[in-house]
Formats: sequence, C-alpha cells, structure tokens
Amino acid sequence: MGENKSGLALSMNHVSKRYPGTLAVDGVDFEVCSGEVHALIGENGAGKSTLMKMIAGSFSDYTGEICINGKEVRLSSPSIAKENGIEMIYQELSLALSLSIAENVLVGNLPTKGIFVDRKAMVERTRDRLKRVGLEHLDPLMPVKDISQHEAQLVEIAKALGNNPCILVMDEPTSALSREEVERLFKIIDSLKKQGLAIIYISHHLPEIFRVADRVTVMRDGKRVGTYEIEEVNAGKLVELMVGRSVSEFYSSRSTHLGEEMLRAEHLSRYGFFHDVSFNVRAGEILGLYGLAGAGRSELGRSICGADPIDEGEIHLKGQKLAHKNMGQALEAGVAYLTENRKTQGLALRLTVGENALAALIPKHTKNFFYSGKDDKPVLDRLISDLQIYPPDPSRTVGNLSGGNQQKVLLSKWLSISPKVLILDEPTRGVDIGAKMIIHQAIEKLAGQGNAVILISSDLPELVAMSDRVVIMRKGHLIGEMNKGEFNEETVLLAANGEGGFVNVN
Amino acid sequence: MLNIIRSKNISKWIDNNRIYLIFIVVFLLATAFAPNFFNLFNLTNILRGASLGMMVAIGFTIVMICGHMDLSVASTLNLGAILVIGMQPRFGWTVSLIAAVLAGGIVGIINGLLVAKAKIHSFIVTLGTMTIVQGIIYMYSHGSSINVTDFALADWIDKAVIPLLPPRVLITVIAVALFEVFLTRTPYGKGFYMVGGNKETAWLAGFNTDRYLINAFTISALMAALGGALFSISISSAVPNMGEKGVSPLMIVLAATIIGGTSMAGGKGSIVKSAVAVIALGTLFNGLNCFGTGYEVQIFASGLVLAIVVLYEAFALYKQDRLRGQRPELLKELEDGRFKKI
Repeated sequence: MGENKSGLALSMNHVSKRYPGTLAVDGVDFEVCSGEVHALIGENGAGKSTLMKMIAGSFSDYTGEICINGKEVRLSSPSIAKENGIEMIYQELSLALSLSIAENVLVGNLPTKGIFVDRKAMVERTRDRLKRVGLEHLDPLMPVKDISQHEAQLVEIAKALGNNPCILVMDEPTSALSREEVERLFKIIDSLKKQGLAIIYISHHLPEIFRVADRVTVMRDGKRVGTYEIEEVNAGKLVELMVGRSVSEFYSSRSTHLGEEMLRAEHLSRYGFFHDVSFNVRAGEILGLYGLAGAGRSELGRSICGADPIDEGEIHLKGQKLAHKNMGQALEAGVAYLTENRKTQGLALRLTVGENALAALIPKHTKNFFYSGKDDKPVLDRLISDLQIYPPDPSRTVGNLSGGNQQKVLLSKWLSISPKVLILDEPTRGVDIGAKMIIHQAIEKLAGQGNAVILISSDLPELVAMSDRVVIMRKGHLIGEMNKGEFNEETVLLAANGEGGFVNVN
Repeated sequence: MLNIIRSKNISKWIDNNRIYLIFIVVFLLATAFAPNFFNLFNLTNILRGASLGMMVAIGFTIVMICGHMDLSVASTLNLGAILVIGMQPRFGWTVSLIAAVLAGGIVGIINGLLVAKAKIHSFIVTLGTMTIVQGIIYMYSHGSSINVTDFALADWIDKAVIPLLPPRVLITVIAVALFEVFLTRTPYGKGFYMVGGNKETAWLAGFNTDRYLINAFTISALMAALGGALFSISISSAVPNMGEKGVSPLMIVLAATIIGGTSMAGGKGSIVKSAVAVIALGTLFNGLNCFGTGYEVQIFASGLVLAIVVLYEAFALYKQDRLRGQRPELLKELEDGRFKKI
C-alpha cells in the first residue's frame, strides 16, 4: 500500500487510546505519505477526533508506535508535535479574538528589529500568508473578532501554513466556508500536495473527499474498517462502510398513530442562518431533521423555540399562530428545546439532579409569588424511575453523574412539563448504549402520548430508526422530505450531501 | 435590515477612540461652563491629582489585559505611601523609596504565584492580599497618619518647574509612555495580549503563560507602590487608607481602565487610554468641584460614566453574538433579492 508514493511521512502502528470506560481508538494502523491527501471518515464517535488529537500531541498516555519520516517519536505534548512539523487546523477556531490578524498568524514568532516588533515586516509577512488563502483584502491589523467566521477559518489555515509543516491535519475545514472559498481551499491543498506535504483531511462531506483525497480510511467504533484508493470506492460504498450493517438491528420498529397537525412552520427565515424553511409535524409523530454540520439544523430548532429571533415567516401550533417572543412564552405554549450541549447550555452542573429536573416546573409550582415544593417529590420519583437515572438520588450533584445520566436528567427536565412539541438536538451525543436505549424509549413514549417530536441528530442509525419522516437541510435550506420506508441511512446521507435522486418538496 | 451586516467604519473608529472623545467633551464642557476651570494653575492641579491613578493604572491595565483583576492595588499603594514616609526619618529618601517599592513587589509576586501556580481566581487572591496588606499597614501605623520633617523634596516634586508638568507628573507620563511602548512594540509585551486573548493558543505557541501572569501582577504591585510613595512624598505625610471617605483610588483606576476600553475578558487594552481616562475622570471631578459640589456628586458622576460605558459595551457584545455563525452565501442570497431554491 502506498509504495508508489514518495515515502511515509507518518505511520501509526496499532495505536490505542483509552478513556475511562471506553476504548476510543482501538489498535488502529494509519499512514500518510508525503504529497498525499489522506481522508479520514467515520460517524460521530468513531474515533477520528481522538486519533487526530493523538497526532497533535494532546495525550501522553496512548499506546502503540508513531513514526514520523521513518523515525519513531513519542508525541506526548503539543510542542513536541509542532517540533515534528505537525500542524492542526481545528474545527473550533483557536484564535485570540481580541488580537489582530497579524498577531494571530505570526503568534510565537513576531519579526523584530532590535528589541522592538518590526510592524512593517509583521504586516508584510501576514499579507503574504493571507494571500495564499485569498484574503489579501483584509487589513492584517484588524482584530480577529471583526472578521466573519469563514474569514477566521481561512486565517486559521494561513496560521497553520505559516509554520511550514510537513504534516497538516484538517478537521472539517470547510464547515463555515462558501462554495468559492472551498474551491480555493482545494486549490491550496493541491499546491501543498505538489510541495510534498502530507495532509490528513477529515470531513463528513463526501463530495469533498472525492475531490481532494488520494486515499480514504474509514473508521467505525474506534477501529479502522479499511483503507482504500479513492478510485476503488464511491459514495454509496463509503456510507455503507461508515454505517456498518449490524447497527440497525439494535432498533425495534414501533407502530405510530398519527394525529392532527401539531406544528407548522411557514417560510421561516433567520437571515444568514436559514432561509425559507417550511415543514409540519403531526401529533404522535417523530420528525427527523438531518443535515451536515453548518446546515442550519440547530439554528432552526433554536428559532422555533424562541431562543433566537425569526426574521420572516410564521409558526402555527395546533392551527393557531404562535407569536412567542422568547423561550418562556414558547414553553408556556408547549414548545420545548433540548439543547445540543448539555454541559454549557443544558444543565446547571453544580446543582442537584432534583433542582435540574424540576427547573422547568418552577413557574407551574409557584402560587402567590412563593414556590411550593409539595408536588416535587412525586414528580421527581416518577422521572427518576421512568428514565432510570442512576444513582436514583435527587440530591446528587449533576456534574458528578456519567454523561448518559446527565443527558437523562436534561431530558427529564422537559418531560416533566410534557411539552406538545419537543425539539431534541443531539439527544444521545456521547452517551453509552444503555442510556441511549432508555432515552429512545422515553422519546417514543412522549410521542405515543400524542405529542410531536422533532429529532435533530447526526447519529444516522438513530435518526433513521426513530423517525417517522425525515426532512433534510442543506446549506440553510430545507431541501426535501422522505417518508417512512423511503429512507435509510444511505439515502439520508446522500441527500444531505446534495446527491441522489431527491425530490424537492418546496 | 441589511445595513447591520455591513461593517460600519465610523462607529468602529468612534469605538476605538472613545476615551479621547469623552475626554475632549468633558474638557470642553468644563472649560465652557465651570468657573475658574481653565487656567494653568487648575489644569496643573488636575494632572497632579491624576498622577497617582495613572501610575496605578499602568499595572492594573496589564493585569486586566491578561484577563485578571488586581484589587490589591488599593492597599499596595497605601503600603508604598506609609513605608516611604515611615522609613524616611531613619534611612533617608532614596533607601526608603526603594524599600517601599520593593515591598510592593513582594505583594505582587505573591499574587502572581497564587493565581498562576495555585490556580486560584485572581479576584479572590487579590481580595485576600488587599485585606492582609491593609491590616499590616494599620499595625505599622497604629491607625493614624504619619509625617516627615524634611519638606524639601515635597516642595520640589510637585512644583511646576515646567508648566503643567511638575516632576511627579513628568515621571508618571514617562512611565506610561515607556510601558505603552513595551506593551505594544516588543514581542515580550505583545505576549501579555496573547495570554489574555487565548491562554491555550499562547501556551501552544510556546509562551510561558505562568511567568507572564506572575510578571503582570508584579508590575502592577510595583507601580502601585511607586505611585503611592510619590503621592505621599508630595504631601509629606501618609494616611493608612487613602480615599477611605470619598472616591477610593481603586474605584477610579478600575473605572478608568474599563472606560479606556480594556476588556475585562482580557486580550485588549491600552495603558495610554487608561491614563487618559484617569485624567478625564479627574477633569470631571475638578469641573464639578468648580461648581462647589461635594464628593458625593463626584462619586455619582463617575459611577454614571462607568455604567453608561459598560452598558454600551454589553450591547455591542450582544449584537456581535447574535450574528455569529451566519453563512456568507445565505447573506448573498438576501442581497440578490430573493431566496433561490437549490
């Protein structure tokens, strides 16, 4: 494999990394040649990010052997990784927002004249690097917070290229870029390839992979499924390898009784985030909402529940126009939203299980200005036993619970008010399989009671098995829907990538 | 609705230079309306009054640029003041001045070590050292003010040898200028901004972030002690707690640093702007004083200015947060007129 290339820049032999409880990377072999773009794909939780963090030197306790240019190295800190010519372009930006572009791009090696910073050289050098990523119009002295997110992403790339790396890792580098910028990035990648750089390219966008990659490695459940020359595979095959057939057997089919239309969105827009989105969801239905990173799924969910404003369009709940101005009014009307990130947006980590689970009930349990806790206990007991929260003790601090149990507490907060419409944003991200099952049962039970559920999930097996219908978002637009029986993991993923024979419903 | 998306250069310029505009407005208003405001004697007095705050603001700003807070300057400047006066009769001015400043430096090193190495929140650390140092001062002075017998230096240090710039003001201005150049023109100085802007990135780029924090707190304490010492020299006496009644120096420096545009989150700020803000507040107080108002109005006025600036800043942040994550191609659709379907 790879003998025709000019030599191995990086090879990882049987590397593993264990987190408490899980083996995130399990005996993986991985290699990149100089002058090669090697794509790494897999579903969320497949272990791609852990593998890349290993290369970036984030762990000192991995096992296995890593060789760079044929020499074995121990990448136990970020600075060692940098010394070995490894640069990362992270999905979340690692820029200092208040500093200028120049200071960010040249961080750690500002040019000097005597003891002073040579501002002229700093500006010129930065301008050179910005030119490589097509940002020559930016003033290098502008603070990073004043440029847009896609420009910041390109600045991040310029910063990484500036250190003249020999191995470049790109983690979803295009998630915030427009089509022309993506094309420009690909041209940059092509020229870097010619210069002999080894590039590892992580992305969920399959067309991009076929555009830039020479080889592709698929990971699933912490293991390497296989490495293929890009000509050997097609999108369908890759999806099949990523998903793995066995997973769907985990889900049992359920029967649904669809009722009246519960929620209807008409031509919803929030300028710059999603445009002209229309769909409906009926009582008893679980509607899957799928799209790639940056497609606007979470933004749509946040706007429907009143966390973010809506610039145009209307929402109807049970035929009546929903004129909520904030989340409180949406909740009162019966629309709740389970946030994507339980740690920063969902839970008060220092409070107890009971306080978190009952948080949404405070207005209901308040009489004459005073909170009355006499109804708390039966509600709590029911929630804890329904969701099998462990340990079943409402006085435990939520922060000390496992991820799965934290997620159950978060869900119980919304179940306690039995919302008519519950929007779930990644309800099982990073939870173990047991908790996942219980959460799924609770969601199905809620729908079974005649409520509507909108399920936003990147976990394809989950989305496909749970949903009665799936709507697909792509680049801020809702591009279509598929009914039960019409969709499976592959068609959903292909549709979200803008491929496949897919009917536009709008 | 689309003009919010386009960058507004004028408002950005105003934002960057707001402290100069505030100063000019305050100065012009005072000149126009306050009796006996615009004369050399009074203007020199404003600068004399502002030099303590400016000196303290140097280090305070550096600490804030690192994303931290140094409340202990309030008592470190008292420490410098009381030590230089208390030691002068026995050791002379030179030795006691050096000792006073170094004593302040020790407080700074302790602050820095506790924040950087023990990872305790700077607010808590400096609240603690502030209280402890203040206690030491009361013990040393037995709670009363102390005086010196040699008034020669006091006469010289505040005398307007150069118009508007008595030696004490001149020393302060030079210190402000030196530290501004150090902070914005040298690679080491730039590191303070990097550490405050994104500690993780700074660390990954090879900055010794702990060392930077310790240095920031040490500079802050040294400058506070120096400012306090020079102030007490100028009046030839020292009280254990300056500004106990009225506006405390900490309050002025804190307000000035924020009004001057230094971000509480770190990574952004300017010593010159903080210093100008101290002068602007001093001008405001002086102007009000010319009308014969008491210190209660001054406290109220400085609080009002601070509140307006902080509100404005919070609003700008909110607006920025709202627009984060917009997709450029969707915005283009809007500009093209109508949403096109893919």
